[in-house]
Amino acid sequence: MSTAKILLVLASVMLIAIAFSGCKSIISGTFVIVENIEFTAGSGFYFYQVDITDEEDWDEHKDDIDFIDAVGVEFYITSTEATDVTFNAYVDDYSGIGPLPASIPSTATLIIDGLTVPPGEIVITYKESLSFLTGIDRLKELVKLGRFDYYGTSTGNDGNTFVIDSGKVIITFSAS
Amino acid sequence: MKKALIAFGLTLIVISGARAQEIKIGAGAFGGVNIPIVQQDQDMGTAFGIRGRIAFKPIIVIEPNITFGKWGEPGDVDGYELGIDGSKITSFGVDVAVGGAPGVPGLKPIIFAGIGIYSIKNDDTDFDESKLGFDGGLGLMIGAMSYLDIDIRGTLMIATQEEGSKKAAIITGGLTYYFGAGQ
Repeated sequence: MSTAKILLVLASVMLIAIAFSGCKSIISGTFVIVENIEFTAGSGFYFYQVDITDEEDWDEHKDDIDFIDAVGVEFYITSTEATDVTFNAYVDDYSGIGPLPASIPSTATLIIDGLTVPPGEIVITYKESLSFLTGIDRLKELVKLGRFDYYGTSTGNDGNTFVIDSGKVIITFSAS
Repeated sequence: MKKALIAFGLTLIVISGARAQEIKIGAGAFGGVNIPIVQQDQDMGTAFGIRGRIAFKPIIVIEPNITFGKWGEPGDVDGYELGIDGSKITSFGVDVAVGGAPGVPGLKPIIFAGIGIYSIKNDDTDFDESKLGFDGGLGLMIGAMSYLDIDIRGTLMIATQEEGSKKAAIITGGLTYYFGAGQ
């Protein structure tokens, strides 16, 4: 077999392999979006509508999202409560523009289940959140839509004694 | 993993003993850098592995290989430090190479392509996928002695996922020893 024929066979194998896997395998990439969360906080109740549809990477690839690699959060919390506070968080379908909800819908999915926050200034990092988030499959489904409602509850808060100073949701997705 | 490594080694030993006269057999190791392509959640890391070389024709060489890699901790994204580790990559594959004839001294260009099973795992995000993947690349082998080659290679790795893929450019240097050569 001549060298030219061998090279032709090699090239053909690669082309067949690429065709088999699809062109998406060649042009896909993994992107990270960091979205700030600014809660509307009542006494022990928090609400925010996460919307990443206006993010550049998301907008560019929104029709070709392959899958959500990871979702996590980061919180900077100041608690002046005398004792530990228990924090829960839920997500649900994006409800659109309307009056602020006063309670958590029965359809919501629990994603932070009884996180204990001691008094003081606390940072919950993205890496830490990856280890305790629950309901990940549902969370990823909602993230893939680009918008969802986020609810939080905390015990023993009169509105000023347990403050989430800042929050972020960090989304890693693969797209073509 | 251990079973795969043992099987890999035994295969080379058996083939080298049984057919060293008809075909040229070699084994070696390589290491280098592993550069993720369009992956914001990864950074440059390392790759090392072992590779067999079985030459059926002077310039056609089958190369079974095992590669262990790790991407680095990602840098900041829009000013935000993710603070997580990079993913680990393990692959078991077979390449077909043209060029780089064993036992031939001097400079020997090589072109190769192949398939393999690629496992990508991240302990922080729990990402864990094992799928068929592809690789291909170019290199230059230096026949230092009849039984020893030094090589430098550039490889494009495409590890397919549910949809899409994870890709990386891998640049390695390595050594290959040929059994029974020069005796």
